[in-house]
Parts: sequence; C-alpha cells; structure tokens
Amino acid sequence: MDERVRQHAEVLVDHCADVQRGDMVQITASKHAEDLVVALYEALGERGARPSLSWSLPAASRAYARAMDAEDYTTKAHELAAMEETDVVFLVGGGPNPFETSDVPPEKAQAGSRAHQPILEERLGTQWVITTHPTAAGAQQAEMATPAYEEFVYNAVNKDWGEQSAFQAQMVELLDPADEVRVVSGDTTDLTMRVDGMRAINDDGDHNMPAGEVFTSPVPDSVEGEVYFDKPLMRQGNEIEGVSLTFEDGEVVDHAAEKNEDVLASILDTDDGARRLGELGIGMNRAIDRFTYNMLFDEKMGDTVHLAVGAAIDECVPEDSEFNDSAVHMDMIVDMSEDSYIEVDGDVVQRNGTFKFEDGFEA
Amino acid sequence: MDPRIESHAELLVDHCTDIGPGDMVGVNAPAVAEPLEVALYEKIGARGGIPVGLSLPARATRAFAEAIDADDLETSAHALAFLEACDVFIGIRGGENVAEMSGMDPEDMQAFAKVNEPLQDAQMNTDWVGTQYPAPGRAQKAEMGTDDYQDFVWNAIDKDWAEQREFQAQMAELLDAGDEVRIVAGDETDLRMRTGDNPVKNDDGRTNLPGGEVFTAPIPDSVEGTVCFDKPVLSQGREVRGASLELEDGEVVAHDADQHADVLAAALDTDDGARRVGELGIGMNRDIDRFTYNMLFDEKMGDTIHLALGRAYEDTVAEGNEQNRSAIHKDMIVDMSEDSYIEVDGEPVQRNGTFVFEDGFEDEP
Repeated sequence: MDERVRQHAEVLVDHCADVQRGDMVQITASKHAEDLVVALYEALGERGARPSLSWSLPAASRAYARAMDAEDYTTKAHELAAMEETDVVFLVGGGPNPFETSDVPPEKAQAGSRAHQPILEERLGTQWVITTHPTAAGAQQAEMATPAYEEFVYNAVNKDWGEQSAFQAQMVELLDPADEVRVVSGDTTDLTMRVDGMRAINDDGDHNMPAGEVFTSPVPDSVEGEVYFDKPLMRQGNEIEGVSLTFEDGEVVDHAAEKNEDVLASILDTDDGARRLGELGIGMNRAIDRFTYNMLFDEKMGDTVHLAVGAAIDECVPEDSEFNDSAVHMDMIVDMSEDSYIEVDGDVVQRNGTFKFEDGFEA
Repeated sequence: MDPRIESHAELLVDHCTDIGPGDMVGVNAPAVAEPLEVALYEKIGARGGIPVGLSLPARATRAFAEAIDADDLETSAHALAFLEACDVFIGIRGGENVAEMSGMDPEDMQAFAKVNEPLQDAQMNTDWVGTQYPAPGRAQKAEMGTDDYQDFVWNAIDKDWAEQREFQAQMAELLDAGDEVRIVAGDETDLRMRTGDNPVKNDDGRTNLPGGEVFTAPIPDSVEGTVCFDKPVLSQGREVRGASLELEDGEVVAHDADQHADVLAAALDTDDGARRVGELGIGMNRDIDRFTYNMLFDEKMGDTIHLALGRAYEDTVAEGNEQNRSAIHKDMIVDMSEDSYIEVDGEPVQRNGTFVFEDGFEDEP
C-alpha cells in the first residue's frame, strides 16, 4: 500500500479523532476509497476500536430517490440506532462522479435532508471527521492528472499539524478580540460585519482533514454590503457559479447567480436563517496552493475567505449572543489573491492573500 | 442494465422479503456487486422501503484482524443497534478474492466468530435473505468464464419458485413422516440420525437465493457413524479438503482432513455445540448442475446432501426438543451422485442422486 495512505489514516485516527480502545467507529466511504478504508481498519485494529462501514452509493441513491415518493421519506431508524451507539465518525469523500445525483428532483433531496436531520444531529454529537481520498474523479474535477492530484491531497493532509496550529494562532489572536471585519476584493466585494463577543476558532483538524482555517460567526444583524463569490460550489449534485449577494441589516436583500440561480434561490428560501451569514472563515493551509473545486480544500486555501449562509457554529457563539439558526450551512468562496484585503478594526491583516505576519506583506 | 439483474433485484424485494412502505432495510454488499445494488435500491424505493448499507469489506477486515489484539475484541455496539432496528436484511456476496482471510490464525478467527455471534442472532431476527452476485472472483473459483458463470448463477436464481416448492414438497413429506435417516456414500460414509418431530423446511428461495433444499435439524444426541466430505469446505479463507468425522452419541469423537486439519480442529473447538450436527440438508435445485465451490450453490445441488456442524436453526427444532447452540454453523457437503443412497426409516428415497419421485429412480442399482 502507498505509504501516504497509511499516513493519512494515522492522521485521521490519532490527530483528528484520537480514537481510544473500545471506541465504536463508523466509516462512510466510496468504493473508490477502499485503500484508505483498509488503512483505517488497520489503524483502528491497532488501537482496539471497532469499525463498521457503509459504502457511499451515489448511483444507487439516485435510482432510489427517483423511484421513491417524496412523502414516503422517513428517518432511517436503523442508521439512527447505529449513530446513537457511535463514538467516532469518518466521512470519506472522493466518489466516482460528483454529478451522480444531479437529476434527483429537488423536493426529494429536501425530503431526504429533512428525514436525515435527527441522524445529523446525533452525528454532530460524536467525534466526527470529514476527509477526502484522492480519486481519478476528484482529479478530473480539479483539472489535474491523477498522480499530481494525489500529491496535492497528501501535501495538504500529511503535515505537521502542531506547526500549522501555531501559524494559525496568529490570526486567531487578531480576530478573537476584534469588533469589526471588512472584506474587500476587486470592485465586486465590499462587506463589513461585526464579530464582537464571538469566538475565533483555530481549525487544526478536529473535524476536517485537511484542516487549515480560522473561523468565527458574525453578529447576524451586522452584515452590510455586497459580495461576489468567484468559485463554483456543488449543491445537491448541481454546480452553482458566479453567486452575488447584497446584505442589508444582516439579511440577503438581493441575489443572483450566473449558473443554477434557481438552486441558489431555493436554498435561500429554506428558512429565515438561510438568508443570513452563519460563518466567516479565513483559509490558511499554504499546502493548498490551487483551487480544486472541492470545498473541503478550497476553503482552507491561503488566498481565500469563505462565508456561509445558514447555521452559525456552536463553539463560536457564546450563550448570551444571538445564534443564527438554519437547516442549511452553505459555504461560498471569495478569491483574495489579487486586488483584495481583509481589515480587522480598520487595520489591514491580509493583502492579496499575504497575512501581515508573513514575509512579503505590504501594509 | 442486464434484465437478469432487474429480475434478481425484483425477487429479493418481492419473493424473498416482501418489502413494504417504511420497512427499515439493511443491505450488505461488496463493491463488485454495485449493479445489483443500484437495481435493488430502485426497487426498494418503488416500495417505500428505507435502505442503508452496512458492509463487511474483506480487505479492510483482514487488515483489522491482523492489527487487533484478540483480547480487545468486543461486539460492535453500533452494528448491533443497526441490525436490531432492521426489519429486513439483504446480504449480497460478491467474492473478489475468496481467500482474503487466508493465513490468519484460526484461533483468532474463532474469537472473531464469537464476538460476532450477537450480530448473527440480530440479523436472523429480521426478514433476511442471502444471495450471490456473479463476480469474476467467484467465476474463477468455479473454474468458469465470467459470462458462463453469470448464466449459471442467474439460471439457478431466476426460476419459477412455486413450481420448485412443489417439487421439493415431495421430499419434505417423506422426511417429515419419517424418523431415522441413513446416508451412505461409497465406503467412507455411513451415518444415521433421528430427526424426530423436528420441522422439515422447504427452502423455496426466501432466505437463500438461490434456494432449493429441504432441511431439518437432527436430534443432537442421535447422530452416529462416519462421514467423509468430498468437497472442500471454505473456512477462514482456507480450503479444508477431505474432511472426515466420526460421531458417537451425536458428538465428533475423531476427525481428520487431507489439508488444513488444524483449521477443522479449531472450528470444532469453538464451543461444545461445534462438535455436534445442527443441520441435515438435501439439495434439490436441478439448475445447479455442477460444483462451483460456493456453499450457497453446492448445498442446493440435486446430487448432494450437507451436514452443518454447530448452530441449529430455531425454526427446525420442535418445541421440547434440544436446539444445538454454537457460534458456528459450518456446512459440509457429501457428493451423492455415485454409489450412494439416502434411506428414511429403511426405505431408499434417493439413489445416486435421483429421488424416488423422479424418473429413472428404478433404473439406479
């Protein structure tokens, strides 16, 4: 087996989840990720944990959803029962075709998510980790050769996380005590938001691998301005491109997209919280040096910030602050590599992708 | 999609399990069986069932088994909770490499079997079915081309099960009315057992697809004699060849094998019940016309009987009779095609593979 696959499994089991003897561990993975599943089982065996596996089956899920009546969707009692007994969950992305479910009617996808809600809530109570195994399909999405894509993924994942955590801590120190953040990019993005009272979190791999961002939740009513998201995002097997949003008093008052605008609209209409921002994230993983059209990686890229409409993040919002509640959490990316800056309380902390604590920063 | 895959999936949701709206369905399938899974999920969706996959990946399980300390083994609480919440469980075998577990320590494998016993019990409390997807690995095992093997598998599966049931009922009636069964094959096998009033099951493809056997449980203490199993028994990724057993008062008192005798010995040492016979089965599916070294098929072949060491199925044991309990259920096959007969209460019911109610029975010596 490729030694990098073993290292990936070690990072997941040791660093991310800190799996203990007797832990009940669930893995969901594509059959294309079998090598990583084998390496995970081996690492879990060494720690005396108990794994179980559910292959992700996009083609079967599509066939099922198309045959199923929307009103027949009900919570999967057997999956819920298993989740209630589970300590650790690994969700491994990297399927054969990210567009497999693109022709499932949206009302069925929504019925499916609603029925899944209790399982999602239970899963969020476990030590859960999302990661990706490099496959040919992932390489194609990234417009890269497969070996080059593998190298890219493992560079982002198999790194010294202690060192990365220390690097990111510098940004946390700037953001955590801050009152106001402003994100400016080209002529299309100029957004301000308040973050006072909110906690800034150092993502060094508890739930995402690769990790590599610093994130917080904005004060819901405080978001003002407009933002253009340069990079496409995948939603329910559909690619939404060229999204622009205008915020007033924290709420989306105008929206457009160059592709699949109807999908964007239906997401914003999910509930009240879906029209407000739940997260501001700043990418800081320098091993991620290009867009690969996979949110797990793109949002960690050093030259990006991302904003999520929908649910805020629990650990960022203190009890006495307003928490933006929603059934959705949709991350969208702004490319900050050119003609862009981030201001914290009026001070520029990043210009054209370079942080103030990095070499080459121009104040 | 191959229409035979559609038919296979339809049998699984209709004939075998009869899935209805809201049924919680567990599906265990290997990567290679994805075409059947796609057809199956579509048909489950059309019936309003709720499917979730739970897989036992062979390569990964091998790596896990090598890495874990046997003392750390415990029953998987999450898998158990899952199975307990299932109404229906569909197990699909593929077999990319049937030897994936070869080389493992037999004692460790027995420890595995023990911690997995509650999972087996939970699965058997559902409306469950086990079936086969014709994967290249299994074709190789059968020494057949993959297309040829596909024909073989789907011929055995895609048939008129009501007609098959009537055919088998003839044997079930003979066995049900009888008490003592004697099985003789060549010089090596001469075994007697009583089946008393234990129920005789007519397997028409509901829990095994293909089905095609009539089976019951012997009274545990009644099994006497010697038996030689002609066909290899796959155990823990190894082929035990030429296994022979001698039974007294229902218990194995001597055993041997031409190859992997240690694997056989470890299986017999699992627990007390592993040394006793839990099942007598008589194969009756005439579309299975050759050995393919796959128990699901071989044991249904018209010219075989099989005995299982270990666990007796609950529904084959009459109330008040003893049920043999064990963590294992190890089926082993006797080839009955030549120089062989089955007697029930002294009357021959099969000679050289031909049943008393089939043409040609009188011609057999």
